[in-house]
Amino acid sequence: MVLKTFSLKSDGDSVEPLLRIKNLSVGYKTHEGVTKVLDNVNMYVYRGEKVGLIGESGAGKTTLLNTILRILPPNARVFRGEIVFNGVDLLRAKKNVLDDIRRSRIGIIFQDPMSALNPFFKVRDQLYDALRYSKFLDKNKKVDEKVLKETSLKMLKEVALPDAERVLDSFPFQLSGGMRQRVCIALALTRANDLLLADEPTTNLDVTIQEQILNLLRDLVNKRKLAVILVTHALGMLKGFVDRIYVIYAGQIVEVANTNKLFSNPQHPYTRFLLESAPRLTGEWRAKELPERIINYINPPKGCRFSVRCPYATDRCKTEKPQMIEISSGHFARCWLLRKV
Amino acid sequence: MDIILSTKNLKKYFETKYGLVRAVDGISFNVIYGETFALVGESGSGKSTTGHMIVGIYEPTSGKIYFKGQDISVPASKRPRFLRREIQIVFQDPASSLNPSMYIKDIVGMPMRVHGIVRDEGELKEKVMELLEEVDLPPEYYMYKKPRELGGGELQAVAIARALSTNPKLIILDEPTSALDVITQTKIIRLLTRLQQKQNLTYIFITHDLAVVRNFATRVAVMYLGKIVEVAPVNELFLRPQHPYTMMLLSSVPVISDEEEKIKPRKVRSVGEIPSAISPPPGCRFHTRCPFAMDICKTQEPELRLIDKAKQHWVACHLVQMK
Repeated sequence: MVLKTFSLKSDGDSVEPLLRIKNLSVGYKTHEGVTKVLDNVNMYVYRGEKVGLIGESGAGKTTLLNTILRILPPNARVFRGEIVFNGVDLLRAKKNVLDDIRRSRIGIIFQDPMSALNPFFKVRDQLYDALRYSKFLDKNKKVDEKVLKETSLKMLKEVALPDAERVLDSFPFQLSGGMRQRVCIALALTRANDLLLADEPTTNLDVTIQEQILNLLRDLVNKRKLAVILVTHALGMLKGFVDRIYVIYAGQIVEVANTNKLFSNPQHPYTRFLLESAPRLTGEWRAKELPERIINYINPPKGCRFSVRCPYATDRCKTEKPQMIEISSGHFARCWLLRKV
Repeated sequence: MDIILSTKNLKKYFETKYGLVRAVDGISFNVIYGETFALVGESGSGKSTTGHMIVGIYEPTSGKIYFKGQDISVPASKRPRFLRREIQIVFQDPASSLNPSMYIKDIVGMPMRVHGIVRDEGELKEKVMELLEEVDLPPEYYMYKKPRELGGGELQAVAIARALSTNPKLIILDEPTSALDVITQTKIIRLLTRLQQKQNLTYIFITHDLAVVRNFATRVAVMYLGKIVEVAPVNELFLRPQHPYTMMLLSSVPVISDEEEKIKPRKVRSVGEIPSAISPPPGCRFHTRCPFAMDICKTQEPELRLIDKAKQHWVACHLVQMK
């Protein structure tokens, strides 16, 4: 499956990707001024392809996902760009078209399952609602309590929840973090027929549970042939899960490569720092130190946004924005240093 | 090897409306001068509760804590002042452990005021500047900032400066880098290592991040549901883990290189979740999730026993002890 999408891509974009984000710039209106968070983001996801998006907190990862589903807060501003999903521009789509896509094509899993579930309703009510309004059930058949219950139990079993009957009858607070996240995955699966967005789905969980949830997600996604965008700040999670990785720094995509290439041959200084910073189980830690900077999104650096922290930055980096250059087939990075070589 | 802190059969139970929560249920360990002793385990294993009892946030239900040979099994308010100065804590989330309406100068200076370490404002300011310098925050820039103006790593550095202000001997680090991303985490761990060498500090490092433990700790105690299941020096634990739970933890760590994959122990697939501490399983508490559980595990609780004297490797597991 993976190989196929790659080969299709190389023979001249003959197949339209499932999702194509073009020159997207998004910001927020605040008391201090208008922030410019996402800066000219380009991204594509093919059918059945698993894509990772990695970056620090505050890099704009969640903003990007929320823009795809158009669930941004009211103070957000989309300055320009387009998001084409299945031939529809989501940023300009009518409400009924958009609702349809949210109901039956794209599902999302949020970082914190406790705040993603309504604390006042039992899992039963939340799942039933999702099922009623999604196109998961056959429209022609009458949807009654029995069908809903059967389907819900099936879904909960699919996400490997033992004792599904009891879970159905529980409020979110009565479940553990791992169980809640499984419920959220079940909810997302009722909608995700094409694309699943996962926003740091395991950040709040223990390593043991993290592994369980990742394995579950991998199985489900492969079984249903879904395309995935997995957002995280933990590198280890992406290895063995996604086909391709986008590295985002301060709202700019700085590097794109397929997973093996990114780990074996990172090009952008920021990607290298990310890889070196990860503490290793072998006990060697090659980490270098970087100065910490809160990104000022109201007046972002004119040139490369990483230039304020980059130890190799030159005057040109600070004033002129580098363009993406192709390092090898499908491997792109945005850095002046790479251009010189 | 001098022992700075030891616990003897330490327990902490909490009364809730659902029943008695046995958060920490009889643990004993020694911490040696100048080392970094890591407490690892899933959430709900009792590692934070242990740390909080040592600083004196909670009073132990039973059992003893000795600090430099002196019994300190009482809450901080009942401890002598000089002892309170000597044990400090750095919390997980600096954004909520620092007062948002205070200047950094006052946050770092507060413990020195409380303990009467400084005579006047001038001396306080001088000390604060020294401390900020120590944690790599240029004082002239940071003194009159408020927490919201700083990033996560800078805030954690402030929290460390505050902990250092009373000149402690022992610092409890309660998941100090869990809320930070990898690059910032590196900085904080580097800083802690440097301070430890310079000031001869002892750390109790509470975390669930095993990759950091490998790079930072000297000895590790693995906790499960209020009990210690394995204690060993860090290399020994990572290269020859004995308890199935330790193996499960280690084999669940997502890694990024092949060399790391190689040193992982034989795969113990993670199943189920940590049971409720209100009604812990009888026998070995881990038997409900253990792939190797035998009949004896379900009825008889294994004791923490020394399996390798030279390496000081302790394990509480019937399977290991039978070998």
